[in-house]
Amino acid sequence: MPTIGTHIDQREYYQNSGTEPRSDNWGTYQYMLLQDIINNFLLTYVGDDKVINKVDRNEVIFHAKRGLQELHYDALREIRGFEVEIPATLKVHLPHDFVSAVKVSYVGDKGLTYEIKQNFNTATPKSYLQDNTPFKNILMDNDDNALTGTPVIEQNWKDAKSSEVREADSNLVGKRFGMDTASASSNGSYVLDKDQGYILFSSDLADKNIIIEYVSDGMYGLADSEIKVHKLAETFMYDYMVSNILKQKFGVQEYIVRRAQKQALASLRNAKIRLSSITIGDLTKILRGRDKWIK
Amino acid sequence: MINSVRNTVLFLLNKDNRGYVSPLEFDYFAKQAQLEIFEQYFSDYSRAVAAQNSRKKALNYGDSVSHIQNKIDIFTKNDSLTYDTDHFNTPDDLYKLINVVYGGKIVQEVASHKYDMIVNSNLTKPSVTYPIYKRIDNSLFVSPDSITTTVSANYIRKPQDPHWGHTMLAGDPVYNEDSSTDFEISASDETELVIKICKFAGLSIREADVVQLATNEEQNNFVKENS
Repeated sequence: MPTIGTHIDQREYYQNSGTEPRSDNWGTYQYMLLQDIINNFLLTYVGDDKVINKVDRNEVIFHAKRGLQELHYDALREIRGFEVEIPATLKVHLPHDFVSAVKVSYVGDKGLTYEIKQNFNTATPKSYLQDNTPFKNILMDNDDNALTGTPVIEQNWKDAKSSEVREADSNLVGKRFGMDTASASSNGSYVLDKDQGYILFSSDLADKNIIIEYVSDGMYGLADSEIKVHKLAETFMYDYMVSNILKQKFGVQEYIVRRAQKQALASLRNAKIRLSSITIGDLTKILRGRDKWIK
Repeated sequence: MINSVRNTVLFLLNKDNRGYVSPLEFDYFAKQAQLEIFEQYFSDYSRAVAAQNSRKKALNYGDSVSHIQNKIDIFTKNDSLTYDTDHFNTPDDLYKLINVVYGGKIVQEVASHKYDMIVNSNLTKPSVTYPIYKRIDNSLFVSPDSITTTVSANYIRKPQDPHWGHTMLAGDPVYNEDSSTDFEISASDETELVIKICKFAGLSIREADVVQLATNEEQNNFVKENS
């Protein structure tokens, strides 16, 4: 387990003191533990002579974890990758700690990734089995639950040829200038079914290795003592907790609550800017494009 | 301090030391007076904090918050708790629990009616990093259940009962320091101790003047400290 929040010497950092995996402590200095933030908060923000005079620790834990989740969705963008080969069913389950997709791509021969567009022109419904009577009654099992099967759309999707799935709309065949540019791509497409927890890929992507880049909430599979927060977002965490605790505390003046909320919003913006890592060098490179000649 | 308090009480009651307040009676009155003043520390502390927050208290010499804190801190104690089947037992001399500690981590006290809600919450479920306990009578039920050792408590203990030890010399009780147990509350409360013991003694000997005088004095002190 990496050591976060306490001083370690250089041998321990670079080589994990000879213990495998040696990379365990790499990059840990940029983080601090959530439990340290909670302790610091209780020590510094709560007291007889503070705006928050009394608060139960479980409430602080709740707001700290909620703040961390918000941070992961909004500002941190600590993007995780999940690589898997597409099976014959073209159906790939979502990663265990999946919260929201950022980008889906397939891996090319040269190690480059090619972005796959989401297809909004189809759906992945639940398909109920029906009998052969003229009424097409839904079939039930012994527990009176409806029987389900593979949706027709899924089978058709699988059987479709590569050339067919690239066309988003058959009405547009032969009319390239009228095509829907938002979905026009030769990289294939996918349908995301969050409810059933899978991604359905188009048939032209069969056997390809795909990468699902997604965001999680920063807490999956971690014990309370292992949850970490980036140091650039530390102030936001404190301000978020103050704001949310004061918001639901009885007897706090409205102007104090608003001040805390404004502070939390400002800290979130600040954290976003800091974590976006936009440097003057990056901006200069982008702006150089202005001088490009377009023939 | 106990001998000085007793002598003052006897002078005030204008009786000789074989009079109406026997050593045994004095011990009872002294215990009661000490407990009253001790319990008053906590309400005084709350009032002082409220006054401080409304900027009615000065720093240093006028800092009654830390003044009262110092008085209470004499009674703070740390002790390991013993585990018994499914709970920890509180110490015998416990007056007020400050906090419970497990391996350097604070174990949070939660109300019994909230205990199950916290245990079942996905975000606040107790762990060895954030353990909780509920208190039922003198038992502390700690969650998670894996915690069965190295739990200690920081608490405020009860003050020891004062005892004016004496030996009989020619029929008179003479103070004996070795067999005495002195007051544990602050020496700055000696006057208040005397007033309270006088009040109890006045009640005992049915001297309405003494009771009235002591009661008035207490009220005056209260008004002065809180104005």
